Amino acid sequence: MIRDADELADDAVLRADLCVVGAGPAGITLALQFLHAGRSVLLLESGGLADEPASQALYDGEVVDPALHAPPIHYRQRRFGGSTGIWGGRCVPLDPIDFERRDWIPDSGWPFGIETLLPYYPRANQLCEAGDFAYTAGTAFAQGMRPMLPDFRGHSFTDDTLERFSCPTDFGRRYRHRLAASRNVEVLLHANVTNLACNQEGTRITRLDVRSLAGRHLRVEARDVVLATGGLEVPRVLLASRDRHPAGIGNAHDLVGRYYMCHMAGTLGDIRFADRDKVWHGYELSDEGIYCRRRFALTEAAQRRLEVGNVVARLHHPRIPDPSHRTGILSLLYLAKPLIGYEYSKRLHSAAAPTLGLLAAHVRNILLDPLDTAAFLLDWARRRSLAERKLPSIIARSRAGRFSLDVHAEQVPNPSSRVTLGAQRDILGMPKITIDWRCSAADIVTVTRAMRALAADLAASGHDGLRYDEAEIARDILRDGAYGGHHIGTARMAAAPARGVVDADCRVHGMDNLFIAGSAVFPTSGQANPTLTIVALALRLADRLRARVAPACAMPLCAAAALGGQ
Amino acid sequence: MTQVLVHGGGGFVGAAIMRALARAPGLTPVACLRRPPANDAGGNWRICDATDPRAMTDAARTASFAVGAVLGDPGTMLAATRNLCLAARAAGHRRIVHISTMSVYGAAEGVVSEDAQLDGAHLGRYAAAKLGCEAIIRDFIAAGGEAVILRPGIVYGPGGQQWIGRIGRLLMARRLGDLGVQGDGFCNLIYHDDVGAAVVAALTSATAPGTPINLAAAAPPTWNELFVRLARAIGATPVRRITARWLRVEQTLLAPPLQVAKLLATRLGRPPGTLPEPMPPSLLQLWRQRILLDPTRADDALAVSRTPLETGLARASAWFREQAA
Repeated sequence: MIRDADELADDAVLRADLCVVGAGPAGITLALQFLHAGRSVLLLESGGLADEPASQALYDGEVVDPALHAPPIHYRQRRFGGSTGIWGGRCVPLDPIDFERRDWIPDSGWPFGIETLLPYYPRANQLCEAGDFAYTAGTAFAQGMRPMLPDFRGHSFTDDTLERFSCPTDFGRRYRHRLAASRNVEVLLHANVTNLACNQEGTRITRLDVRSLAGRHLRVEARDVVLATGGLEVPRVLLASRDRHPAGIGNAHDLVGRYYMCHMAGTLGDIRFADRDKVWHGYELSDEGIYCRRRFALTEAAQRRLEVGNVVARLHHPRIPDPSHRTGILSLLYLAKPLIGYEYSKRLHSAAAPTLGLLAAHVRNILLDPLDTAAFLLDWARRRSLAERKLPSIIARSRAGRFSLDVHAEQVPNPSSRVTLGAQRDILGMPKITIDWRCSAADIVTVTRAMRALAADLAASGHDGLRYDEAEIARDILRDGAYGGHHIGTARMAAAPARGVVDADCRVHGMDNLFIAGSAVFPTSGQANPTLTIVALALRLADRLRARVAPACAMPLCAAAALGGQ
Repeated sequence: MTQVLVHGGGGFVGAAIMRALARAPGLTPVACLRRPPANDAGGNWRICDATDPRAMTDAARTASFAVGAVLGDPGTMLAATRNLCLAARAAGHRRIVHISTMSVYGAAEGVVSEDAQLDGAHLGRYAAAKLGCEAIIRDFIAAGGEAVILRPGIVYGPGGQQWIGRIGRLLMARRLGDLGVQGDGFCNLIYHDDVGAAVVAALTSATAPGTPINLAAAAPPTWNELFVRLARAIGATPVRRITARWLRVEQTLLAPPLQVAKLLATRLGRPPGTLPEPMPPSLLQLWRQRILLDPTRADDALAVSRTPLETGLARASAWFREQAA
């Protein structure tokens, strides 16, 4: 069932066995696990079914250094489906090493290993519509997969691991009908949680105060509560709920909002290959119809040897703002950047304002490359604009035979990188957030050593055309600031309360019935985009929550468990 | 040996019932057919027009049980069921089993047990006729007869043109694949031999359950999952994602002429697959329908084990590949 908070009477009290706050990928995944089951579930969503500027504006906040981090209203969607409404769909699991405590990375280590998440990743893949849980060329392509480079022999990097792509699936659109048809799961739209009220001892959430922008005040009482509001809103809600905890819920050790990580990401270097026709940096469709792509991944052994974080690098077209690539479609993209959404146009902007000469060079590229440009546009219309499973990104071959590296690297957990509450409040009275994202010297070291190792691997494989200026790596990797949309670590998981906000079950330390779903709980980020792991963790949390109260199944076979949230 | 008449024993489901009965100790199945089988491999059969009350009564004389699995237009199915009951009463059959369908649940969604309220007013012609047949069986029970109504879901297996042959051809033509929301309904699969086993159990159990029984998988896949698995098994890869927009074209523009053409081809005796398959609105509706048949009663009353989906699909896809070759 889907209802709107504004349909309810003012001061109405809603009761449920489980209340999930936030209908993004984590919240929707959780709710789906209770379909056909006997427990009542209330899924609260701040926004509506589609984008609404007034709801989105509730994300507003401050950024300490706007050059390093996007404004908080970007890369997030405050609506049913959450940020899957705008995500790119890249699905990658964390690597085993990401869960380890690594001596060279302070505050690293999850309270469990990857084997704990492995049972959930295949179902997460299904929910993301990313096909099989097969992330190597050998397992995903029984008939073999086209190599990225001929004869690549990596000492530090492997080109055998893959990234797979969701449609990209908007969880709201894709799963709305399942929730709407449910008798025991209710979605309540335009329901903003403004406070988590605790019992006298401060150990249980007894009430959620909910407000709508239209002025409704509601109360929710639930046996268990899950915050699934994303890596920036989780600390906001916890820190703003101070009835019994003056520093905010779960913040006895001043950890909420700290260790805020994104990914280090940027376009680095310039590569020319002697035989560029043998270079393949595009996508291949797996048997089940999923776009897959190879990339260079720093091996675990190399991470240990180099004492760096996790890194991947994708073979990429040259930087778009620089017209020397002589590629019509890239220049067309550059000129069309005002028409492209903020989240996907950031890299199209150069630091300096475009000059007439620069614009003319891009126009010249288009005029000199009309056939390729037209063919690309037709292909884009067919495989992207009109398709439900969309070609994940532009794959353009530079006429100048040039490539770059699209680097995506792990950040070292840093307690000084944090999200706090600012002095300003939003229209509902909630304090706005202040984002102070930090990049440390260790993060630059990770990228620098990885680039050095990749250059060596390429040279050893007979491709010595990678050129980059090591002294400029910090500037280049920070050119576009923190990777938008990956908001990680602000309610980190640790076995000991002194080291984390939630325990291994994602339960807030010291709280009986408050859980957190989403990337806020990741103690480290790895190199992987977080959505797949967010979904896998939500599936695991659902198992934990189901076990807390044996459900009276509508079907004796307990279809909810057997069907895996279908 | 106890003789069991299987009306409609030449069809896909009827043949599976025949095989199961042939394996059951002490039972001798006889297929009652409208015309001689194309490939008479020496099985037990006799000509009997199910719409002819006298023929049905004659056929029933030597049998102790009967199974109604006649498919056809609504009039044929209703007449066949009526005649089945008349003949069973006249011959003093110990029990009859009627093969109904999950279609009687109409557009119901969620977990659906046999006790669900049935809304005959909004059913299609086929489902309404099947519901009418069930009413005839219930009257038979009320008059003192013993009968079991089985409501199978999607019956599949080697030789199944409806759910394997047709879907396989659509997949090979890349007109079908992953449908997203449009294929998110539950595919309440039941392997054809499991239907046969259920019929044997229904005939031979000590007491006949007086209520209908669903036959379906305990945790069925969605239609999308079926399509993707079948496509991979038959080599219709890479699986295409079909847009909702294209499905609208299929059901509004392509389906009507293709249905007419299919009807003509059937009348002319052309084999399945001669013409492109139509995708009518009713089919697309089924693929969306979030109906989950509750199989509990079958487990309790008939205790029939189910063929794992992997096994069933492997056999069915092997058959499809063989046919295609």
